[in-house]
Amino acid sequence: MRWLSLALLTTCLIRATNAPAAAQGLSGARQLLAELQVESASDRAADQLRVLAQRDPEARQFLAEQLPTLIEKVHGPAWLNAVHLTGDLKIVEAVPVLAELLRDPLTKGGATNFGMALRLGDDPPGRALADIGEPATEAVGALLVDQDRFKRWRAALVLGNINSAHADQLLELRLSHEDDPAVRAQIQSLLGERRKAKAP
Amino acid sequence: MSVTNNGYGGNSFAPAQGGNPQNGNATITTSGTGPTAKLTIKFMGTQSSGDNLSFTNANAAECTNNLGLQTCNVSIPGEWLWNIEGTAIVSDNDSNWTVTQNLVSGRLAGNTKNSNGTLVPFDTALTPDTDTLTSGINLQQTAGQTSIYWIDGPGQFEVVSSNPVDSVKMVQNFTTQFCSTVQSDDCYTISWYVKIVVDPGANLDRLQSWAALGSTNANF
Repeated sequence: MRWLSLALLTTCLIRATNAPAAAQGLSGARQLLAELQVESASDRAADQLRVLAQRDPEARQFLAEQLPTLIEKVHGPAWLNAVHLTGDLKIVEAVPVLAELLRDPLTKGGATNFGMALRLGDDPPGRALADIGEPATEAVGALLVDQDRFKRWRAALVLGNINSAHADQLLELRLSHEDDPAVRAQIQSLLGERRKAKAP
Repeated sequence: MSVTNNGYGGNSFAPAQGGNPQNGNATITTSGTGPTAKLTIKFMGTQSSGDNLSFTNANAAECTNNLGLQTCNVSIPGEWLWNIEGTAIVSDNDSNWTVTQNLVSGRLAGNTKNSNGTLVPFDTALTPDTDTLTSGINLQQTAGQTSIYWIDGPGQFEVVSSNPVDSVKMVQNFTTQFCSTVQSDDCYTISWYVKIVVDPGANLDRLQSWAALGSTNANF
């Protein structure tokens, strides 16, 4: 009997040690942010940070301070997860760094198709800015006048996904000057879809 | 080309065999006495004469309006992609049909090369999702006509998570469904897929890359 009790206790202790403990507060956020940068643990840490930050304002504030800097320092899965987190948690503090990433074409990537491109599924910084929404509009709108047609096209898609009156206004304004057929077609389509959705 | 074991875990290409991808007819899932739609997809060649859609207008990363496997480097990062054109010949009127396209499953797995030249593996399942068809962009559906066209260019950027790709295998399985708005449960579905294989050194493998009707195993 004593042996059985000991065995049960040992099993419980082993399980408790191996189970991913629910991270708590600021110290939990710090630990998870460190794990986010470890390739093999990055995805799991990102999932846990998402949950933690949504229920703990202190942890969220910590991420709002840390993620913009982290995005500039890391690459690979850590970078991707950090960018996704800024959008999922609507971290306005990350808008400047994300808008800068939007100027860098190499920050798009992965698999794509036309639908995925329209919804920014192949554009992590673009998707994050769209998820942050209205506070990102001005920073993204500034790219609409870039000389590079690809940057204008990318910015138009982000503004279309922000789906606000202000973002649409910027797209309308650009349309009167835009001479690139792809950018023009995209803006016309985005605004056309919006009008269709608003129609009674 | 008969591929029975291509090294990705089995008979991945079973739905369509042959030297080239096949243009094919619809897989009809539901039919009745109502209006009909005959669905086909072209995986190679040029767009149909009545199709006024433009790949290069639909996506700024596109470099050509030709169908088939492409390497597009007009933008950075470049893209390996497969341009397809779908056609629905309907028995009544284009405006009597709704069109939806879905990414049913997919996966990309391979290696990127980091700034130190070290290979970094990645393996991502693609989330099933609507692959939006937007009128005037990648969908041509004109009231009074009986031909509906759609285009898409599923592919893979030369970059993943901000690192350049060294090698990748990518699969996207789709279904495109046409449903009559004048008769309920009158729907026609076509399933198709694109597989792109890039060998180490970022070399597009034109023999292993494939697109056809049906679906292919994403568990390679």
